[in-house]
Amino acid sequence: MSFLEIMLGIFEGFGITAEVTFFGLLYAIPFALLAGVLQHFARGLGRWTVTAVIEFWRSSSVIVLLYAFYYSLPAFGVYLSAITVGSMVLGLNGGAYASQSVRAALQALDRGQCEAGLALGLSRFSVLRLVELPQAIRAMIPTFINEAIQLIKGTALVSLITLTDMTFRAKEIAQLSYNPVEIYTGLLLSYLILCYPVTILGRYLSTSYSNTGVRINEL
Amino acid sequence: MKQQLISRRTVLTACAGMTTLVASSPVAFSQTSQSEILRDGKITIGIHNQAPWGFKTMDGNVAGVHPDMIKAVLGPLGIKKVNFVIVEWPALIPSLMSKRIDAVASGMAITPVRCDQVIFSDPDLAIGDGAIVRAGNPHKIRSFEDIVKNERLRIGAGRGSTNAEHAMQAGIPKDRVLLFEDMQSSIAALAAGRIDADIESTATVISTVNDPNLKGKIERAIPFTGLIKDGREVRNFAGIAFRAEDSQLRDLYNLGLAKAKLDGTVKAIFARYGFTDAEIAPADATAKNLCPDNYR
Repeated sequence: MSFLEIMLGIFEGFGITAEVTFFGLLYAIPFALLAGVLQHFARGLGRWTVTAVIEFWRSSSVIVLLYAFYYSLPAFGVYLSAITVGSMVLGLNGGAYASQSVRAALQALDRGQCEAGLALGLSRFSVLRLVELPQAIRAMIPTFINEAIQLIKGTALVSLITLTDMTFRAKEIAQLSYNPVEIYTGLLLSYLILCYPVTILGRYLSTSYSNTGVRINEL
Repeated sequence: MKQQLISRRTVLTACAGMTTLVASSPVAFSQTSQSEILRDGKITIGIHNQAPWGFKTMDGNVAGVHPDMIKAVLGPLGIKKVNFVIVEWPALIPSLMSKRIDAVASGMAITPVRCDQVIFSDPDLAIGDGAIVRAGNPHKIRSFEDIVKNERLRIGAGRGSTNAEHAMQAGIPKDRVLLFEDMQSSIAALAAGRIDADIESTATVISTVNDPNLKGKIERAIPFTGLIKDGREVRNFAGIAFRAEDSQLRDLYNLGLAKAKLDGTVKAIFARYGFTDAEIAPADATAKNLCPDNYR
């Protein structure tokens, strides 16, 4: 089996890897924004609840969560498909991490920004929406891109719940050709090929948006 | 300035929203059970992608002694549509119990421990333990005893396999037994010198050493003496595993298997994968005899 054939074989699993990443991001981004904002503003019982939800997803091992959701939930009558389990667990885990950068970005903002907004007669929610979040999100872009790359690489774990992603395909090919050196080198390259463009996108996003940020602040 | 400007109610509502977001993902309740399998003529089989038991070929089809058995035995009963799912060996029984698959048809040996979780058909094959070593058998490994004696030797085996259990029962200390998820990992470890022998059932050993990709790198240790119990070498009796509540399906399978044994179908399947008459499970070996205390 030539190296090209191995690479093509591995890329047969690209669809699943992309699908899990896409749905994972659909879970991760809203969860991160919502949880981060709520943790920043909530006090007392509310804050305790938000923190509990975040910590559940952040402080448990992804692989254990995958197994638990895939193999244990059916015992309680809840039967989620492998794609749902994979994207939900990876997405919410990544989202829980990202929620901390949301909170950090909000906390790092100067208090004066909020006070000025309130002084203009904006409601607290409008201040958040129009003043604080736009600046916070700009500051978060590099960390968010980090999380997205982490998510792509994390999808390798879904091969353990029978999804035919790139890692699963690599293992299948390995089982047929017994050529670990070429196959795992190929797999390594495949993830690099996938993740590097995301890094470039991230760099582009952060340069272009941080420039706007400077301009707005200068105005 | 008042800090708490977003009210507690908003926070709690949002929390509830987050929970719904999680819970509202497409939920389906599996109803697959023996009556549905028989009614729809459709069954999902778990294999662990290992020749000759159940494996995916180069062209993407599924072959193997037990997938062929399932087709030959359940086909005449009207179960024509057989789906295959490749599952890691340690995850086969969890997948079966969580209804991800309806049966394990991948050379699983019948043991009392497994009988606690699932139910087995009667065995079709009786296979001993074998060892794969590097070409030339540099450590002259001929039995479990040889490995026990030489403290420098380390072995590999499948995680959760009966072969690994037998090796440890033979007295090989746990810290010298490395457990792997699949065959390609074991072989990679053997080639890399992380282990000195890989313990598998003889059928797996034969099909692996005959793989053209591995020519000249590894060989089967011949002769090889496995675990001796009551003066006889212990063998693995392989059968099909079903969910505990699907005993009716299992009984139907057993009836079909008996018929297929008589008309020569079973022998033809065995011959296809290089099994000889010596490896056919004797008539007195039944799932009931192998799990005397917890047969269901």
